[in-house]
Amino acid sequence: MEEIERFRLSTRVLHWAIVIFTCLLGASGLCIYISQIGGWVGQGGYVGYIHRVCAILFVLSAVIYLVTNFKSSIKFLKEAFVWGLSDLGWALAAPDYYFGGDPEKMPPQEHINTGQKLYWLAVIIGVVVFLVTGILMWAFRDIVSESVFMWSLLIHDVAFIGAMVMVALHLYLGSIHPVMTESLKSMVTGKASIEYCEHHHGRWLRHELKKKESES
Amino acid sequence: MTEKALLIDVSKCTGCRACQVACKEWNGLPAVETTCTGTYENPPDLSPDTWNKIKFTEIGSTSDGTMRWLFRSERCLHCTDASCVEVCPTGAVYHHELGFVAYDRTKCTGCGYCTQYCPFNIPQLSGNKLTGMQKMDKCTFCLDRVANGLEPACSKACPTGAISFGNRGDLILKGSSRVNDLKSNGYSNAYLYGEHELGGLHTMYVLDEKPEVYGLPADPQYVPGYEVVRQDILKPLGWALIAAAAGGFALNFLVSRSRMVKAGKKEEE
Repeated sequence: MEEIERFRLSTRVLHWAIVIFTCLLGASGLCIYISQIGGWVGQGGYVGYIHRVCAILFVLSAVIYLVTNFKSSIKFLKEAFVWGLSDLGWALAAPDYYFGGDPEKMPPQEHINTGQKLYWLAVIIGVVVFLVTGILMWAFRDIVSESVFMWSLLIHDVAFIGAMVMVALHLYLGSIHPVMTESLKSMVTGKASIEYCEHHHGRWLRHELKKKESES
Repeated sequence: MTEKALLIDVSKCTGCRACQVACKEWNGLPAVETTCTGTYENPPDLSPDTWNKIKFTEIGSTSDGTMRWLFRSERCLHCTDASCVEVCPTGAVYHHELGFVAYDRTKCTGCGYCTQYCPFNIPQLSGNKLTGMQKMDKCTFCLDRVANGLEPACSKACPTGAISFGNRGDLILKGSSRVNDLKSNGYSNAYLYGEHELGGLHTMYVLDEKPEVYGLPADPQYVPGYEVVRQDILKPLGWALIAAAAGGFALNFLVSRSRMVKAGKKEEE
């Protein structure tokens, strides 16, 4: 079966690095959030240390990617904020499509579809919220007023609940949902079959094939 | 069990700091090197190695025009409505059955919420701020002594009887009668601090001036509804959302799978 590259190696490395740091951040955060785990794991005070180190590595990996892949990063970042009529087409077709309806009714999608774009936007907003509130509680603890600290903590918690649900959704759609047969595979190997891309990222595929033709 | 408490009569305190030293001695806390800032108050603040210290206050213009030098042993007030207990996420800070606020250092993750919300700024974090590998320390009410039938080190050491240890109810009576004595002796602002504050403190003060003069908030506030929101609304909401998501995914999987199988069969036909 003919395949086409979906994600470059650097993109995949970033994705899986983010996966590891997100899991560690979530787990160490839960230790402070849930008393039963916290009392047990809290010994030694390593939990906060792991949380901080992972936050730094998370940001660092994103920054390294941004610097080394500047052009495509900016393009990808912009993608989250450009919305049009085609997104409405996705939204109208999505309920049926994601409940096993006829895939032909879904309008052809870009490199990432509208749903993935929504997730991407949520990730950007989430990271900013986590970072701002986290840094306030970490570096500026002695400077900010009690109410700023209180709100930071509350917002950090709300963001965590939101992120937990979004990550669960991402995990389900990416690797379990019966329609998404090659989503996980493409993030591991970098490639997906032409057939899969036709169904899932039609507009992008046409564009890519044209580019290849003109190159050869 | 009968609640225990400490009653600190500042009108009997001479600022000798025997309690400060006894606290360090009994709890094995090292001395802190400081620089002279023109006051006998030393060290300047509570720290992970200083759980009890005398706060020195000079007031120059009393009603009769004389100068006064005030002393108050500053340490954990062991509140009944204790913010630190409420906000501690791991249950490391807890109410002891004798009424005071104890803590289990091994359970402390160093999050420092207790240091943020204490209305008296008592809990102190030691360790590295940058790494977050910290631990909280504060007055333990000499848990080890009290649990074995001894009085705390500070009250044992006090030479003037300014610090007394006993059943909280008895100490309230003792404190009230002392306040009345002070009032009849011209200290019109005399007040028993801690009888009602924050549900009742387990370190109470007989004050001969207003609380603010001694650096105590006149109306200390318990942590606002924030923690209630976190514990009683946010946490269940989080779990409910995750459960709903898991259920939704399972339903979605079954529905879409069966519809796809059906559609596949039709195509074959």
